[in-house]
Order: sequence, then structure tokens, then C-alpha cells
Amino acid sequence: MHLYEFTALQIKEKIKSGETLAQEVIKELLDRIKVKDPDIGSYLSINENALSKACAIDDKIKSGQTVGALAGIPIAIKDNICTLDLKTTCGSKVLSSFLSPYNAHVVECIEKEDGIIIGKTNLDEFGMGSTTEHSGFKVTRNPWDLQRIPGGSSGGAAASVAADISFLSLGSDTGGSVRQPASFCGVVGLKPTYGRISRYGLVAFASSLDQIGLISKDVADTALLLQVICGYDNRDSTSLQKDVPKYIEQLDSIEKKFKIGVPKEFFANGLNEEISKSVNEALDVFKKNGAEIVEMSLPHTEFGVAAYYIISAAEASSNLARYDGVRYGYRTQNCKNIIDMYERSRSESFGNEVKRRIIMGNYVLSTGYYDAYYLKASKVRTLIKNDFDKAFEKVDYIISPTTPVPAYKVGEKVSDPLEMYLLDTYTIPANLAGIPGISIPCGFTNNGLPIGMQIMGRHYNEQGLLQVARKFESETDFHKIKPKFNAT
Amino acid sequence: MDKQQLEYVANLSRLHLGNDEEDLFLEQLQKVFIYMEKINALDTDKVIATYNTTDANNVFREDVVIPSLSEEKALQNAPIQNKHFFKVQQVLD
Repeated sequence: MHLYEFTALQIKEKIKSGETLAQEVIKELLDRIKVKDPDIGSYLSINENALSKACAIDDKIKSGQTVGALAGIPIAIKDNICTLDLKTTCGSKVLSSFLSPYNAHVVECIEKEDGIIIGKTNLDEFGMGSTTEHSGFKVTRNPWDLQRIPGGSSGGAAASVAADISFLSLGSDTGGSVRQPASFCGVVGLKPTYGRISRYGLVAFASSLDQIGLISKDVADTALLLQVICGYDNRDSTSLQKDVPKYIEQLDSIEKKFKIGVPKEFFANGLNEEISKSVNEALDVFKKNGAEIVEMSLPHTEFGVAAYYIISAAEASSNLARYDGVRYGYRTQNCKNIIDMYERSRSESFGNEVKRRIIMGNYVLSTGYYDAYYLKASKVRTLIKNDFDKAFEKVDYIISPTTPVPAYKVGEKVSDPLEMYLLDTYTIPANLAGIPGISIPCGFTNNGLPIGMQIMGRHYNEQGLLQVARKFESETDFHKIKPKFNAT
Repeated sequence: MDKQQLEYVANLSRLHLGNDEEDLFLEQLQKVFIYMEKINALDTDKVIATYNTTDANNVFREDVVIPSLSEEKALQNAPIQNKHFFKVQQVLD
């Protein structure tokens, strides 16, 4: 077995015990990235200092010093999370040479615990898109079928974990951008409760919805990384002052009896039959293990996509006003005056999807339309949140498919943004309500494409989600099946 | 959304759209906005809007002086700089 095939937790144990050197892991992984990533396109940059960091960790271990919880684990970071040593481009030509003057909170946490940043991964520009085709630099491909998209916007993050060219990845999830690519790539993707992980150093897209999320090979790896990056940070005023449970230690301490709600709106028209079948079989696994399955309704689900695209575009149009070519980012040459400079710098560097969202956002916020669109959508958000509040009085978890269809072909939905937006229908509600959600592998289509199941829980109950997901993993083998691409 | 509104909002957004881009966006955005109309089917008169999903309201902290970015770091990404400043075109006529 190659080192890159192990999980993050396994590789950490090997390094800590002295069985393997951290530098061996990094060397093998860098070699593999060189060979495999040209077909996938998951990385935008590679950390040239990774090997020296690994050597420093090996020295620490050799000399008997204590090492951190992530000792020697190579971790890939979505390129909208700020890193001091590597460029942070957000997948945008606007920031093609941007070097952040500080590390994001999550990057500080990882480095403090001796994790090694291996590189920065591709994304749809500023997180806007569900396919990673909207990156300003390159398209990322799905290791399960190179003709297909890996999902997005954290497509590089998910594809790298699936292809065994990273052990763990950080992404960001505004409307499903961690869970959806995790589902399309057959890996685990967690979006914690809004505010659970500090957004300090995460480049803003839609601030009331953005949350840093995790992508991993199995549930234990997510628990391992969550433990390190979760918790209060005073540099993000929406960061939550809540206790952080011991995720790993408690992973198998699941309550004997729990209730799972199955919302009928998530199994309605438009859901692929193979996905429906897989998720229903997954529910049977829980049933056999003593869970009570309850049919239920989240009546406002069908309004989620419309409300989300109004709110997120509005917030994006405001957040992206900062890219004016003055203090950082792309600036055009030879402009007539300052307004011309703003206009041309922005028009020449933003991609089409970003331009569309900025225009949508400014439209729904403009005089005469604010009440009809933005205010109305914010009220619909309340109704969706109330649906969940009521549901969680009766059930402990809600299970649904993560996506209505499996990974589609590159180029299939590029010309029709609405069609792409509509496929976010199962992931968006968790962002609007601020609740945590996890996607885990639960089957394959006849074509061999991965199917993901989403488990949602009450605010702050990441621990419960991890336990339920872990229970499913312990009863099934879907998470152990790798794409053929990995072996060739 | 019609063409005039698109041009108005593009200008507010400080985006210049070429003719082809304008036609393409108009067609795509019209479809999106027609879809978004569906939220009007809901009666929300008595519903309070949600802007934030956590229970946090005003978040206060002590007003403590801490080190901030050095001038060098703050200017490191400047497209054009002049000594201690970001340099841009003339702002006032």
C-alpha cells in the first residue's frame, strides 16, 4: 500500500510512532501530484516549503519533543483562504498575483498543530459556481470520470482528496460548495454551523452564508481536523462562543436511539432514481441499527434556491465592490480617469459568472427593487429557518440526498446559469438556516459515479452529525472504494 | 429586467459590458429573475426578515490597541505606489 492511500489519521499515527517519516509522505505526495494532477487540475499552487516543514517535524519527533495533533499531515487549502507563503487568487484573474499579508485563522490553527499546507486548490471564481468550470485559470476534473465536473465551488479540494493527492482539504460552503463536490467525488464533506469556524482570512463571498468546511477520506479525518480549527476567534465577530466537544474521542459514543426525519420535498420530482434508491437503502441501514425513521415536511424548501440566489448575490455585489484596482488586485493600463480605471479594471478581470452575480445583486438592492427582492428573500429565509426549528423539535437529524443528480459533463450547464443554480436545491437550505450538514458516500450509479447522502442537524451539533455518519461508515464500505484513476 | 435597467445596474456595479455580453446576460438574467418571482407566492407580511442565523446580537470587545499591518505589508500588493501611498488617477478635477 502506498503512503498516499492511507487516511490522515493513519498517516499521522505512522509519523508519530516513527514508522514513517513526514518527509517520506511529502516526497511521495509531491511526486504523485506531479504525475496525477495534470489530468485533474486540482491545484493552483504547490508549497515549495512543504518538505522543509516535514523535515522539521521529523526532527522534533526524533528528539522526543511533543508534536501537534496534525503532525506531518499534508493539507490542501482552497484558494480563497489566505496564506502568507502562497498566493491567494480566489480562482480569479483579479487576484492572480495577490499575496496575503496574513494567514487565515484556520491556517494558523493547522500550522500550530504541525499540519503541513501542501498547496492551494482550484475553485469557481470567488466561490461562485457549482462546477469549478468558472475558475479564471483552469477546469478541474472528476477523478471518477475525467469528462465530468468535480462539483464546486470547492472542486479542487474534493477532487484532490478523491484522487489521493491530498489527505485532507479545507473548502468553503456558501450554498453547498463543500457538500456538493464531496458528493460528486465520493468523499466526506462537512459544512459546520455558521460561525463555528472563524472566517478570518476567508475571502468574503456572501458573509451571512459563508462557512469554512472540511473535505476528507473518512469521517474520523474530518473529526481530527475539525477539532483543530473549530472554536471562538475574536477577529470574526460572527464567531461563536460555544464549547468545542472532543470530536474524535466521542466519535463512537452515539446515542442508542435517535430519530431521523426524511423530508418529502427532498425526494420529489427531479431526483435521479438511482440516487433516491441509494439514499433509501442508506436509511434502511440506520433503521436496522435502531434509528427511528420519520417522514416529514420542510414546506418552504422549493423557495430556497430563489431566496438564496437573491441574498447571496446581494451580499456578493457589496463584498466584491472592494476589487477596484486601487490597493490590490488587477489594474488596467492607460485609463482616462479614475472611474474609467475602476470600470475597466473590473470588467477586464472578473469572469462572466461573477459579473452576472454582481449585476443581480446590485439590481435586487437598488431603489424600487429592494423590498420586492432582497427584503422578501430575507423573510423567506426566516420561513425556511422556522421549518428546520420546528422539524428539530421532533427529530434529531434530517437525511436527504446531497444532490438531485450525479456529476454531470464538463460544459453541460455553462450556458444556462439557472439550470446550474437549481441543482443546489438540497444543500442551500442548511446555509439559509445556518445549521450544520455533512455529505458522505452512500452508493454508486450504474455508471460508477459516486452518490452522496446529506445529514443535517441542529445548530452546533457537529458532534452528532459525525457520530451518525461514522455509524453509517462502520456498517458500509462505500468510503473505501477508490476511483480507477487512482490506480493507473 | 430590460436592457435599460441592465445598463443602469452595470453602471452602478462599475462594470462595462460589451454588446455581446449585454445580450447574453440579459437573456440569462431575465430567466433567473422570472424564476425568482416564485417567492411572491408566499405571504410574508407578518414575517420578520433574517439577516443572521446565530443568536449573537451586538458583539462587543475591549478597545485594546494591538499591532496592525506594517506599511510595507499593507502596500505589498499595490498595483502602483508612490512612497507611502497607493497611487491612482486624479480624483478631483
